Amino acid sequence: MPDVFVSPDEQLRDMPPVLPEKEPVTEVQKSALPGHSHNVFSSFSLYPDDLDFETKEDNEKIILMLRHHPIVNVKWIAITIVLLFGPTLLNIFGIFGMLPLGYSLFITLAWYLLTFAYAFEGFLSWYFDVYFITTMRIVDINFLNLINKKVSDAEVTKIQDVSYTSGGFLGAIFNFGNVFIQTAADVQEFKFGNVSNPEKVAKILDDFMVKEK
Amino acid sequence: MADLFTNGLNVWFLVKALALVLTGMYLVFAFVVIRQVKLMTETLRVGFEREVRSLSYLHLAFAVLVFLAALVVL
Repeated sequence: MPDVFVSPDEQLRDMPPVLPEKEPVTEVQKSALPGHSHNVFSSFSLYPDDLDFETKEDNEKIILMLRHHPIVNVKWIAITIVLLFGPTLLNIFGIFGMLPLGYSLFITLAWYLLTFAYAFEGFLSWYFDVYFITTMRIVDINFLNLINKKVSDAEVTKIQDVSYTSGGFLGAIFNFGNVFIQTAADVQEFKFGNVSNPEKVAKILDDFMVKEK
Repeated sequence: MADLFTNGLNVWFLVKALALVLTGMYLVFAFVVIRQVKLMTETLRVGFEREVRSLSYLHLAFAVLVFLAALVVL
C-alpha cells in the first residue's frame, strides 16, 4: 500500500544524490555534471568556475551558485517594453505638438533615460542577488538599496532543517520555488527565494545535514 | 516688477529652471548608481563586471546629455 503521507525529509532522503561522491576537479569532470554552467546569466550552477565573493576563504570552494529564476525578470522587462513606446504615444496623441520647440526632444530624452535606469536597476537587483552553497557555509548576498548590502552566512554544520516549496502555476511549469533553511547560527532562517530546481538545492543541503549527523 | 514677471520670468523659464534642478539631482543619482555598481562588483565577481560597469558609465553619460539638453534646448 502506498504511503498516504510522506514527510518532506523522507522525500529528500529518497532522492538520488545531486552531488557526485567525489568532488570534480577537472573541467571534464565538472562538464559531465548536469547543472554545471559557464553561462554568466545562469541561475543554477554546480561547481561554477571563475566565481568569487568578497568573504570567501582561500580554502573554501563554491559548490552551488543560485540566483532567482530568470522568469522573475519578466515583470520589469515587460514594463520596460511598454515604457519604450511612451514618447511615440505622446506624439500620436498630439501632446508634443502643444509644446514649444525643443521640449519634445527633452521629454523624449528624459523619458528614455528613466526607462534605461528602470531596466538597469531591474537587471542589477536580479543579477547581484545571489546565494552560494560552499564547502563550509551557505551565503546569502543581498543588496538592500543603492548603497547598502547585507551578507548573511551560516556554517553548513549548523543547518538543522531544510524544506522547500515549489507551488504555484509558474513555479510548477518552470521548476522554481523557495528553499527554507533553519540553522543554529546567528541568522536562524534562510530563504532562498524563487530559485531554480528547489528540490535539488534542498537535497544538497539535506545531504550536508545527514553527513554532519 | 510686473514687466519682469510678464516677460522675463514667464512659465517656460520656470519649467526650464525646474528641469535643470531635476536633471541636476538626477546626475547625483547617476553617480550613486556608479558607486552601487562598484560595491556590487567588488562584493561579487561573477564574470560580467566590466559590462555592468560600462553600463553604469553609459547611464551617467546619458544623464549628462539630458542635463545639457535641458540647458541648451529648452
